[in-house]
Amino acid sequence: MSNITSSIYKIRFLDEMSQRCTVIHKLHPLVKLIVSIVYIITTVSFDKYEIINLIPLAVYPIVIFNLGDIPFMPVFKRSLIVLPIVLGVGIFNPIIDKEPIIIFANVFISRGWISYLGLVIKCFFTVLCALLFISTTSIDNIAMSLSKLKVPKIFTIQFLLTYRYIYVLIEEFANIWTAYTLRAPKQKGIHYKSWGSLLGQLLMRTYDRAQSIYYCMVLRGYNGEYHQSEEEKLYLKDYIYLFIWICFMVLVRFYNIPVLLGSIMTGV
Amino acid sequence: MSQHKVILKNIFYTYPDGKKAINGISFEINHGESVAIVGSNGAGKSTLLLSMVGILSPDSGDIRIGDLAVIKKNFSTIRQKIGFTFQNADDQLFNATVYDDVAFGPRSYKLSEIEVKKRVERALEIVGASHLMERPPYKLSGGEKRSVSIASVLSMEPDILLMDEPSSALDPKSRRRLINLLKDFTHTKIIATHDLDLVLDVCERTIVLGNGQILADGSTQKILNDGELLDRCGLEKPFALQSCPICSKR
Repeated sequence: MSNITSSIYKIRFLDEMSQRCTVIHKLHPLVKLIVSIVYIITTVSFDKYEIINLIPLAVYPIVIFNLGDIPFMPVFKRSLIVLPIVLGVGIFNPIIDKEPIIIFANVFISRGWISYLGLVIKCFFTVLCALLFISTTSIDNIAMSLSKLKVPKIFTIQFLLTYRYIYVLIEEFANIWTAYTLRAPKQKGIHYKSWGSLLGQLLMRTYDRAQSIYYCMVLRGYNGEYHQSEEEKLYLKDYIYLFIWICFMVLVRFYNIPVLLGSIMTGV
Repeated sequence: MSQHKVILKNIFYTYPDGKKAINGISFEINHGESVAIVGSNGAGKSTLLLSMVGILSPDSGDIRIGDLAVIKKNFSTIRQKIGFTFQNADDQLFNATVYDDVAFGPRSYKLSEIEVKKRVERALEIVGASHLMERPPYKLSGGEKRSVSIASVLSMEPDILLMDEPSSALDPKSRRRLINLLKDFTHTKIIATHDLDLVLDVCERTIVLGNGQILADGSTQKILNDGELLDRCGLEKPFALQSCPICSKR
């Protein structure tokens, strides 16, 4: 039970982060969305062996962590959730791609390991970017910026309502779980014979709750359109933020910055 | 809707599973009246309230709010004038912050953000919850949630308040605060509840339901003093009207 309750709090952590009031939080959500998309595209656009070029991209999360006053460890832990999938998917790279490559003096490594590492770094950066975006932008503002990008309204409303439904689902599950464990103290988990009825219960209960919430919305004027706060204007700081990051991404994408810096420092 | 009368004429409602919830209910509630709808569990109180706002459509009969019949084309206008609070305050609070929740109604009616802000601040001030404005609703206590859920309907500046079990799951102090708050409201109030002490304090008129029918309709004092009637309806006298178990005095 404590696990489920703590899960609810963990899920709400990002929601709470997004309500903070820092330089990054105050930026226009559209600008943050565009920068995040460009960052993700830039990250995945590199060739699978170009891991050195990926290093400068670490600047973006570092800046957002600091300016957005986001605690590193909780977000880092969440970014590891998808890592097992990527590790599983990429594991064939070192097996299939065995062509050796010199990395240092007489140290050789197969190209497969390089591309494997590249895949993990790309995954980490892109997931981190998405998490930082939702940690600095409220869900309503994300929906608003999506609709500004002409994403059809039906998708943005679905996105918003699904997000809210997750909480209803977890809360109802927590109640069912508590009731079950209190009457089955010596069991570990839920007995498989009860799975069917409990899932059915969960569906019916969440359906009822969702219906009540829907009634509440309808009675307060909801007619299929979810109205958020009035669209904020784009200020000069938003344009500057967008300009700086786009320039940075372009530089990182078309110039090998670590090599350039190395040659400047060594004078070669 | 100059006069916010609520008129129900011969309402019948049967649930899809065949259960008859309302069997020919008629009454009229005048502008500014405070009316309690009481009755045992399953008496039809909630069904009746939901019918008044068009969430449930009666099988037959006529419901009018002011000059308007409760039919689909009038829903938007009617719902703007009626503030409905649900039994479970959690159902009513689904946004990221209290501010957004209270602003949901005014924003849905496309008011300007300046007007929305004004209304939210006013509504939260009335219920004494201004300090909760930026808090996430799920972190509030039961009493705070109830206050915010009331604010979320007050922000629409309704003329009529429909409340389903407003004092359920409240601690004594929160309940007392709610009673004082309701006493101050000049809206037409229709309160479905089991809390007969609240009824005694807030409502001058009481309608008793049983098996989907009106068993009694009259002054609260008269009805709540009728022990036999209350017993027949699965209710009991409020504590304030019961004799002291020690000295037998009221």
